[in-house]
Amino acid sequence: MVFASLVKKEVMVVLKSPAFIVGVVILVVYFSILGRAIGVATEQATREVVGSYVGVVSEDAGYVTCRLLQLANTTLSGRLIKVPTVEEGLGRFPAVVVVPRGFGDSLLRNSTLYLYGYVRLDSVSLAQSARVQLVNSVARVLEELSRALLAAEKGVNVSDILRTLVPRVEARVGGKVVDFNALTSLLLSVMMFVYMVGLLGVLTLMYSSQSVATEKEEKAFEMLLTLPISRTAIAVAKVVGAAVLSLIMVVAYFAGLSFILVSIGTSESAVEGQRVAAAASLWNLVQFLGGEGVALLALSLGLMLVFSGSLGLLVGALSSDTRVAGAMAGPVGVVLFAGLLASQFTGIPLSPLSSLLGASVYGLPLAILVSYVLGDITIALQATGLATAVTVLTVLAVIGVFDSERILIGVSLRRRRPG
Amino acid sequence: MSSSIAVDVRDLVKVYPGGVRGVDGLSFGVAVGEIYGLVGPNGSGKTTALRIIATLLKPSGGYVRVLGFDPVTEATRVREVIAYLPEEAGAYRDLTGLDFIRFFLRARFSGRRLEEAVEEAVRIADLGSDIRRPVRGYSKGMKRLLALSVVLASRPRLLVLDEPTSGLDVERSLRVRNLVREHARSYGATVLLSSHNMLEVEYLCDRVGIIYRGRLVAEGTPGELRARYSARNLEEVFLRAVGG
Repeated sequence: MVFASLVKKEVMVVLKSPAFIVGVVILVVYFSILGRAIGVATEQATREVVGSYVGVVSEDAGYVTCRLLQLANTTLSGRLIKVPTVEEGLGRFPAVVVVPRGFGDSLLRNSTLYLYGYVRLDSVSLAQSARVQLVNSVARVLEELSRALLAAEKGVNVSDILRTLVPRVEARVGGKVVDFNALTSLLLSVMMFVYMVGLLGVLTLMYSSQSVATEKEEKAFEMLLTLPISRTAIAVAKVVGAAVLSLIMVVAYFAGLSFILVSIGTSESAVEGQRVAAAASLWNLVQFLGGEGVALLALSLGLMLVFSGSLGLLVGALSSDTRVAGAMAGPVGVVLFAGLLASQFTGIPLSPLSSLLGASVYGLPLAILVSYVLGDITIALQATGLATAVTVLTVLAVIGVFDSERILIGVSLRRRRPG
Repeated sequence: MSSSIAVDVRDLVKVYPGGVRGVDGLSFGVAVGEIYGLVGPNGSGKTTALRIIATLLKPSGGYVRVLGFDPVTEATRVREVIAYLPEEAGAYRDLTGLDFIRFFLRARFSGRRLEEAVEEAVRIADLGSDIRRPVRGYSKGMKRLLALSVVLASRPRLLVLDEPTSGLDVERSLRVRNLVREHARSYGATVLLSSHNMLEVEYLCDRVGIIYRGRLVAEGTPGELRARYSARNLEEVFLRAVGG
């Protein structure tokens, strides 16, 4: 009863504040602009990758295939480089295509053509996933040229030739082969999840720091602390309250972002396509990770909320007023979220050392992703253990501060004047 | 400790981080049912002493018991029997006065007893229809009455009031003094208050302790102190007690 009242009070005192409503509006606008900027940056990265060289392993020494590759190389401005093996090609170029034995015969028989693509992934990032476009662009050129070649052979119009070339792309990740389409969907899903969780975390941090600092400023804190309620209950109620408020804010953010996407969509079908892709992407994530992986991601969300709320309480508890708390919590939140943002472009190294990301708690979802991509569950478990340890230590620090007089007198470098 | 002593403070010392001494060997006692006033200038240690008694600060040395409980090791027991009104106590500005009252009283009461306490607090606050408005529109006096109403309606055995009329106009100051006095008499509550307003203390308190630089320099009923220092009022008592 008392605890529910504590939580309700935590939510209501902020929810009724005009500053909260303004904050919602600012966040929707800010992240809409940010989302667009990220989209532009990703497009640029894709264009750069498409301009790269591609290794070619030809298993078919027949005349037709050799001629087709010559024409393709001319069409692609000499960006196709012959290499003896896939491994050697991936050592020199971001992508390698393999033209299989019998490719020319299939072409002349007008049966379905297959092309095998291999993409080297050095880290987990959206820009790296754009490397699949290299293989796709080679496949499209070969498809068009094979239609033209067959039309010339049969003396018919090119439009009369129905030709299908199926590129099968795999990613080489740390010596492992991963289906690229699944990996791309997975990357998008995880990045979405990471952004959402990161945003939740930063907002929770801000709200919990303000909940203490505002209460001090409103001169109600001392009365609250002398009530016969455990200080731990007060702290936990603040964390829960801050998490509820940040969930409301995140829902508002994604609603705003969806509205922007709908507004800038070129056609209804394109928007529908985005929705379908997002749903498929999330389903792929669930399928790829399985129950255990999804549970780990859910745990990472819980840890993030508790960690952020506790960190915010520490900031608020050690601050004298909202201005100081804002000045402290703002940079902390920006640093944590900017780290996530930067990781999209710099990439997360695909190595067991990625488990160290768990120490930041915010990086835990990324470590779980790396773990599942590499197929090494110990990375996820180590990262989760680290994140749990950091969160528990933060909670213990909060309980310690709430039980001490530091909660009241804060931290000051100046000499205190006694009352 | 005698069961007739509500607050027992002996040789209390509080050293803040940075080395500043908030109180420095303070000793005084408050009898059950008594209204006791700690008076002294700003920075003399009144608020520090009250905050220690209210379990907000931890003493650096000395002995403190509140209705028989140790404020450090039995903080929750102390919080159950006291209600503390901090200096310039405010309220959550985006809640209504009624929401504020209900929240604080819910920590002590439930069910029918809670509703009775809320009604009592609303009656004490006497804010009319403003009780349903957000606190951000309240004047300082209204906020003070709101906070005091919660403290009184909590029906504690010990009221700890830090500068209860600080910043209030004459009319509201008189109302607050009368409320405190009536409450103490009606329910037999003990009151420990601090003030730098000597006239207020003279009017309200059964006994007075004059605190200066963290120590008690004089103690007694207002009449005893006036006689002891051959003074016309407590202001003169204070000046003579500190050698001014």
